[in-house]
Amino acid sequence: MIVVVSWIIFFAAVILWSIFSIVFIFHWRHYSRQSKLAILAETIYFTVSAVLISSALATLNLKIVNVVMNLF
Amino acid sequence: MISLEPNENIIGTARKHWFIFVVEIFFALVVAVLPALAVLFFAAPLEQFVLAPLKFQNVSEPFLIFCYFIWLLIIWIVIALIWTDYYLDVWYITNQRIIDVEQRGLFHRKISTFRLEMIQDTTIEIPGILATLIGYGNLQIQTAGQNEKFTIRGVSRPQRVNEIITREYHRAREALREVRLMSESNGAGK
Repeated sequence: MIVVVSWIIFFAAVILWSIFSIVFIFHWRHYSRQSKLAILAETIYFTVSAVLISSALATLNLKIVNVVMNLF
Repeated sequence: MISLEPNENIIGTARKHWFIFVVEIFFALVVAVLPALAVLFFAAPLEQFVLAPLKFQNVSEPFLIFCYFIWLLIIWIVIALIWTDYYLDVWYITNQRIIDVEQRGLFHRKISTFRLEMIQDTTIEIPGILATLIGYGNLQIQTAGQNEKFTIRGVSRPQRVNEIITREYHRAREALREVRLMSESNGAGK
């Protein structure tokens, strides 16, 4: 039961993050006049997000992480 | 995106001081570590008064760590929201006008412009010892023909911003005076 709940929470969080990320990217690229600081902020945002999402995924199922890592 | 007029160049930008951004981020970070601190220091009461009534006892450790990562992801989205609000809330000072872009959250954006020669007076307010030491304050501009005052709160180096605005104001007034003199001399010649 708790595994199912965990996966539901995970996918809900990823969907929420994706929606916000699309809006952030639109704002940062459209309104920031292509400044270097905005590009840096975008890089930091996606790097930290990737670390957090993969860490959450790792606590759920390490086997999936291994499969994903083997792809690269 | 703002659009500039022909022969219009951006002289400078003014936005809130980084200290204001850091203070907002600090509160977000405090909220981020609160669940970890609660688990570390109040594990027994947390289980007795929060988890037990919710029938959430004997939850595995990986699940709690997973929940904490999801919590951190949500806080990270909030931090990105604070950054967006900070970075896109800006004044563009051009050689012809001031463009005041006010960003509130993600979907509320207000853009006001006023021409430099319309400026009547400017007011700088340094609110307190911290603002004096760090170098931020409020800058208010009153324009002619409008009741609205344009204010940027917590702007970094307000004196410097005011100097740029005043310098460009005088330049714009001088250019306007020259145009008037030329049109008057052309009218007298006819």
